[in-house]
Amino acid sequence: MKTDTLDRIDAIVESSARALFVTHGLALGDRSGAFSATPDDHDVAGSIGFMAPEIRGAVLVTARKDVLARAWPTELRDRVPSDRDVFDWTGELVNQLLGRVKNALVPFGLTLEQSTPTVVTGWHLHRAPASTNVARRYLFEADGGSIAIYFDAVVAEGFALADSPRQSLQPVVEGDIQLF
Amino acid sequence: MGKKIIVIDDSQTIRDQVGTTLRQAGFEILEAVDGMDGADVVERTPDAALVICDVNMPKRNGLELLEYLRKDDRFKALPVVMLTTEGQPQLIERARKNGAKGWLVKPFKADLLLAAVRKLTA
Repeated sequence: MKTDTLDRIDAIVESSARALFVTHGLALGDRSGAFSATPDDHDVAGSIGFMAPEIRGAVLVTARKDVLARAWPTELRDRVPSDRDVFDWTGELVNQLLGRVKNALVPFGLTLEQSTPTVVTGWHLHRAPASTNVARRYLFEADGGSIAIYFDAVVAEGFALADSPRQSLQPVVEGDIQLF
Repeated sequence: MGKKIIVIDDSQTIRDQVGTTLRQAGFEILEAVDGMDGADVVERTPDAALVICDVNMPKRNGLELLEYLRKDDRFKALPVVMLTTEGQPQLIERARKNGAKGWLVKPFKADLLLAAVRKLTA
């Protein structure tokens, strides 16, 4: 994969994560530099797969449960989310994150299919070394702790995103509604 | 009792979020966890006023459910709104061609959802 395409994927994942979490009331702070291991206190992980002819892989989000609970939907804040609630919400957050990434990639000629999310919980969760040819890591500070995002993919040699977005492929913006 | 809305999503949180928003406005909410379960709930609810349906779900996805419902004369007129993270124009067009009444991209804004539901159930 060309460096320029990697840089743009990095920018899309980062901006998608920031936009998603701030929508749910949790602003992401500075992005840490390179990190090799999942922070020791992360106890929940949500993952979702994606594929297209040129690329296949997964997005993984890890954090502490109480950190992701801070992004609990406004409409439901009259109750404290249980662990079960947070597990479900983690799956939905990773789903919404991949949705934003997918929608940002469509105008550049990459349309991803996706799986449904899987959530894992436990103590001292650590991401095993990736065997993919693209393995991007993003660690953000957030209110009360950190959130790690992993974008792992096997990408066809020479794959590149289109240089400029095609207007005809612009997706509907998150939060918008179209009535037919 | 308020008009019946069927909410189909594999996330309990989304079902709760949509359900809370619409119950507060006087609607009665029925839930289903995937496209297969959704078809069963639609079958059991002949007086449903609207279906709000996710796209990416296990067993049967939302677009497949929409196509299934449109093949059945009993449900051809039942309004369906897709509520999904997907924003791709080709998927929206597929839904529109199969008679969906709307497409809402998550995360949704409660006021927009409620306005659309009121309009489609008026």
